[in-house]
Amino acid sequence: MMRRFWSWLWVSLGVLYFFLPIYATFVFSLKAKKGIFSLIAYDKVFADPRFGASFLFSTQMALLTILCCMLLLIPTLTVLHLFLRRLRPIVEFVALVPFVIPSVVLVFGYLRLFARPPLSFTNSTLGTYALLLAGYIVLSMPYMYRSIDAGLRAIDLRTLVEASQSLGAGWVTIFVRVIFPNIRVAVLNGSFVTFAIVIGELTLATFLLGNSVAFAPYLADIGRARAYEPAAITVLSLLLTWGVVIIMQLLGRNTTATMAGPR
Amino acid sequence: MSFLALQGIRKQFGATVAVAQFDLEIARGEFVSFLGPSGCGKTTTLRMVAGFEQPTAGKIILDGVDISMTPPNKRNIGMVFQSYALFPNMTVAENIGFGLMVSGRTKAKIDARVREMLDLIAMSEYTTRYPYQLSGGQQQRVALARALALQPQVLLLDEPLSALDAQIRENLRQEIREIQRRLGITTIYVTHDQQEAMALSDRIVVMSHGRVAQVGAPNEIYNTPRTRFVASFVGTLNILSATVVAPHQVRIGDAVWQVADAITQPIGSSVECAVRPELLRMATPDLHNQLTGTVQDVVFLGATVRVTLLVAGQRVLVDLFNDATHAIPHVDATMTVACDPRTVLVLAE
Repeated sequence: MMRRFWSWLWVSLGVLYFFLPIYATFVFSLKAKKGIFSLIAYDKVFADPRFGASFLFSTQMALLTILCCMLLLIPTLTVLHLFLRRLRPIVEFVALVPFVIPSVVLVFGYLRLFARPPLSFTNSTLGTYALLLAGYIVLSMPYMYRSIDAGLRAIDLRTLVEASQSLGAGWVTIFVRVIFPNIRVAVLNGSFVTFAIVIGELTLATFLLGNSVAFAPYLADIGRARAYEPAAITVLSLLLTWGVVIIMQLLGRNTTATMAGPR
Repeated sequence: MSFLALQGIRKQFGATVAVAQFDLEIARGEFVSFLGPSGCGKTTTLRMVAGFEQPTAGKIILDGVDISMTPPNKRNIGMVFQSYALFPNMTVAENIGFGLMVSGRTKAKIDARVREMLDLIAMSEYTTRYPYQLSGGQQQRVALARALALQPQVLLLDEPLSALDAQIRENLRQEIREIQRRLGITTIYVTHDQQEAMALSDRIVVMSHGRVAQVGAPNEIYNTPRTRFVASFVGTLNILSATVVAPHQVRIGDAVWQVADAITQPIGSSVECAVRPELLRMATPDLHNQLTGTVQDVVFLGATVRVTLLVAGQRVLVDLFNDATHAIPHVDATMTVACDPRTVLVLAE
């Protein structure tokens, strides 16, 4: 009885800690008109074309970042686990370095290297987007690395690969039909974090693209001049982010990656 | 000509020699077991046949073709792993059909072959189950069916039953042998369980320290081991210190034993004699090789009774048939046992 009480108490405190700020923001967003609750702030947000465009842009960049991280890290980590185990600590260190490099240092490094000949990426929109994507990949790499690494450790990778090879499979088939489906949950977990990082990333996007293209700079820009609209945008972006995460969760459902094997 | 030949196979990992020298020829349809303790090189040798390890030296010839450098996915050699290695994301039917799908068969042909394999392992009602929904024995049957679906030239099994409990192991062992005989597929089976090797195999390759200690039919390995290692690894063995007194005689304590095979060591030298516990029996006047000792321990094992005798300071194990009409020997009793000279081995190093 007491244990149940304490369990519910801690859960309740956790829920309050998480939802109370969101609730407060939501209530604040409804107070654009003095004295009553109204959706005026939301109307203004939806009337601003930059809201939809910036969120769409950041969502596209997030999905591209996730895709690039998967293409980069899944084969790399597979090779590490199978053939180059001694290099794992070194690669792990490299993957964690982005934790200690502030985004502002990263973006100024990019500008120094890629804003002048011969590597003038910032002279074109596509080049700038590519730089931004590269920055997002660097920032999300520790999270994707850890997730994919945990996923590969949870399966008997070597034996599954050898079993596939004994049945005539080449590497493409092995990655597509054996490895990826069995680390799908791990990849999804890393993808959720990556999505959140890219949506909320301010420094890189501001210095490379300005205030209006990506979502976080747009939100920061709106917040300088207005009070209620940023709150409304925050609530909407939370709902949209949850919506994307739920879609990703649905896409990753029905995973039967429960490991079989000798019990 | 042999169907599968391993010629001068050697495998080194850095300075460590896992397989020192391995030569073997296997006939088509033969069931050969690699038997030995952990670290003897049996799994490494199997993995070289599968293509997962490259030999440091030597050749692997399959049906006249040198496959030493052929990638594992091009060898058409099926393998069953100790950990089953079923694909967790696929159903039983999808697991069995995986190799067929990779080889580009049509869906109809895949489905037909999968049904055939499921009938073979008596699991037709499990098509839509996932590996985590199966028991260990069922998973291993599916793994076997998956390996056989592509009709491989050789089937390799790496200790497939070691993770299963005793009853299931025995049942599945029989199934494996029946399936192998029915299909006539050349099979190499790795195990450290001597009973398993003897029950399944046409021939056994006993390995030690990366080398072949002896190759032969199960009864040859058991009854005429060539080295001390083979004699003591396969079955239980009494090893007794003795002194050569004549070309066909040794002294063990106060007893003089006849030995059927000629002893090459000079008279007066120390040798080791071996005799299996089940070949020692209660002494009768017609049996020459007798030993008298004190009973140290008696263990009732059901069909047999294992008696430990102390003879001239040496422990001797005697396995007697459990005869309910006779009393079991008791501890501290004096007991005389004897054996036929033809069952005594003088061991080489």
